Amino acid sequence: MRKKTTRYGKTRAAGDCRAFRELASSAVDGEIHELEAYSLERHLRSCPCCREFRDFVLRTGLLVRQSPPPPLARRPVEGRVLARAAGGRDRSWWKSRRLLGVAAGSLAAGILLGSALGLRVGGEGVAAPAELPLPRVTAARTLDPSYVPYLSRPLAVAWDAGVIRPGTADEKRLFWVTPMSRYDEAHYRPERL
Amino acid sequence: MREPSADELRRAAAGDERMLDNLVRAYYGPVYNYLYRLVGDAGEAEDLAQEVFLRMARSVGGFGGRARFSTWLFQIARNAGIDHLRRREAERARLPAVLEPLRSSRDAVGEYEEAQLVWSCIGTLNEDLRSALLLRDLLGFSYREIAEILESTLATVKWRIYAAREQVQERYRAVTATEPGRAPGLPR
Ligand SMILES: [Zn+2]
Repeated sequence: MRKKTTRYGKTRAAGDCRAFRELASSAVDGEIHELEAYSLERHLRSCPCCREFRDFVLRTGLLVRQSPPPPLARRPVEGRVLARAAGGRDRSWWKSRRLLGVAAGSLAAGILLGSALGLRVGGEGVAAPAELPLPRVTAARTLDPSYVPYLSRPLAVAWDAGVIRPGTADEKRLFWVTPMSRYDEAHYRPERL
Repeated sequence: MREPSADELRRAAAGDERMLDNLVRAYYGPVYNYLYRLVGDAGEAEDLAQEVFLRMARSVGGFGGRARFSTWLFQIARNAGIDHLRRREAERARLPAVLEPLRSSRDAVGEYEEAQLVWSCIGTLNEDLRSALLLRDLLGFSYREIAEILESTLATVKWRIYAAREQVQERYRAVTATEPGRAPGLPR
């Protein structure tokens, strides 16, 4: 069996066998026409190399399906949290911020401040300035996952370690570097920390 | 994977908590599994899975049943996975999908070790090939559904799955051939 180099830089079976191996791959998935199946069967009877490939594909497919991922470390996101995201027009995040007295005195001022900071309210949410670095993590301890379930782990750890303090510039940066690149009350609930 | 009905999706879009919980129950596992195998880190996969479901909840109202729900959801998952891989690559220029062994016991030779070797071979595929293979072998999507998810053609999907398998076999052979008599193990 000849080999050739592809654009992926890997050697691959050349000529007829290549076509039959591609067919064998589709056949394993049940994605093959009857006529193709017939000619494939004929080829497989006389070609141990392609038979081996077919068997390998069957075997590895089985192994892949049977490998469980590691168990979840956290509870999946809850319906009540998603419900708020689904509502979309619920601005309770802003309301709770106002109640906490951390945000600007009025929603209008809040939006004004938001736009000054490059935030957009509604629609696509907050665009993340790419150049902002991650907050520096100086200590780590376990964070109750129900508190900030949507932050990436370094951020959650940074928050937990007190590196990111509520009501500071660090906190604003936090929004911009979350994996969501946007935020709402659903994945940022400072009042619970 | 059972597809939710149009009515169930309308309820989800309206913020019906029970319906959204049902969707999480039905799809969270497969989405997490796919993302874990795509990015190769369980914690990162969990972060991403949460993100995927939030994105789903935000946009399910505009979904409108153009495609199947599951292919639409995995489109979101795949995009989130790719964004993450790009971000990660930019952050620390390290290889994606360094797959960790699920347990460390050395005496369980055989099927487990073989599976680990296969996973480590899959981990070396480029993202295009890996995604196509995972959607097929891990999640059992049809070629047509995979084409929808990857926003690609049927022929491309067929080729990618084949090419992925060819490369996996090549790498598998390379390892097992250089270590004769040894049960295929993993770099630890
Ligand atoms: Zn052949």
